[in-house]
Amino acid sequence: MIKPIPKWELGLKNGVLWTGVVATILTGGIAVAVVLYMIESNDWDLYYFPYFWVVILLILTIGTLIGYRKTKRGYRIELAKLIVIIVGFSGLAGVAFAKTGMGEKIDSMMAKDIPAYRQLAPMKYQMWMRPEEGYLTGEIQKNENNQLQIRDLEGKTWKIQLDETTNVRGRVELVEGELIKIEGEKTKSNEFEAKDIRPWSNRFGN
Amino acid sequence: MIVKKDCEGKTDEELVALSLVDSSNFYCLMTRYEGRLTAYVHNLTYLPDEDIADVLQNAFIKTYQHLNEYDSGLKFSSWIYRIVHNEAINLLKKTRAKFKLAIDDQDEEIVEWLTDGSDIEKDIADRNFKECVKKMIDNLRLEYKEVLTLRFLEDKDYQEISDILQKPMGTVATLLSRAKKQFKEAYEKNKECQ
Repeated sequence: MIKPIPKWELGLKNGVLWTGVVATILTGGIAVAVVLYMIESNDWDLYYFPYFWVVILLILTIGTLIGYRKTKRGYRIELAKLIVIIVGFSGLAGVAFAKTGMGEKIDSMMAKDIPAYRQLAPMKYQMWMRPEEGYLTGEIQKNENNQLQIRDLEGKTWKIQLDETTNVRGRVELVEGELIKIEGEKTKSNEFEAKDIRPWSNRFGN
Repeated sequence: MIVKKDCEGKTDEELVALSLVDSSNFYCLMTRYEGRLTAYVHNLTYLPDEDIADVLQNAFIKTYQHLNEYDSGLKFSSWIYRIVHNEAINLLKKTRAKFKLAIDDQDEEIVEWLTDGSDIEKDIADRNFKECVKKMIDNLRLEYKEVLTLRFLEDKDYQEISDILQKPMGTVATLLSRAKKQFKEAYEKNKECQ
């Protein structure tokens, strides 16, 4: 027997659709937050343009468009206007997320957990992971007797020698788990003499 | 068995609400729209009568099934036209039938509109000229024929066309404008019509 589709079923379908639309806008906001962080971290030098996140934002915008078009009145807004609205909302969300530091957190998390991420979203990483040229970045695993053991961004373990001339910048605490960038000299295949140690994050300009 | 109901004096929206309570009220909406929608599908397609009847039957079933989805923010007529339109298009695509614009002698308005503002100075009452025009319109793209049908044969305004075809109003206006342009280009290339 033919019956009308129940209201709750239609409501559920609608709810899922709108949740998807909002979710893609907010995820686009995360992408914007990371882009803002990356650009700011590179001192607004667009040499390392965040193509990866811009492509992610583009894909999410298309997803939002498709989802919105499936809503009841989704056909009424012209395409160009709709794109501007979606990107606008993602942009606003992105600025708000950036203020909470989410861009940096996502970027760092991706860098730690996804080995290929840095190839797709190169940044100051490329500047600070050139041990042959005296630039090294890693997470402190141990700090004993003026010697640090760190694991660099590629997973390699290094012994970092400190002495009285080593300049340890203000925010650096040299504790386990801290991510630092080191300027110095590679002395052996896995040993490094530190001249200058800074926090990985340059938010405060150190 | 469908019981004939007292349909007079009730708006479409009232009948939708009543149909959700008692399905026999849906008969009122069917009888109210059957004639119009049959003519619409006939105007739009080369489908034989039995196929048109199938289109309408499927459309009415879908309409009833989706009654809870009806958005009272738009006219019921736009909504049901949309369902019928989509059913007709689906069948056309399945059968690869041709999409036609059935212009008869009374539909001078569409010919006048298409030739308006151009150098086409033919007597639109001229039978040969009208036959020519009909052929050229028949060769227009599907999306142009859809808007021309709804605008000139079904007398729908831009909002209604937008709701039926689920396209923004600006796009509807653009499609009508492009239909006119494409028609003029076709006319200029067609020596038989000149």
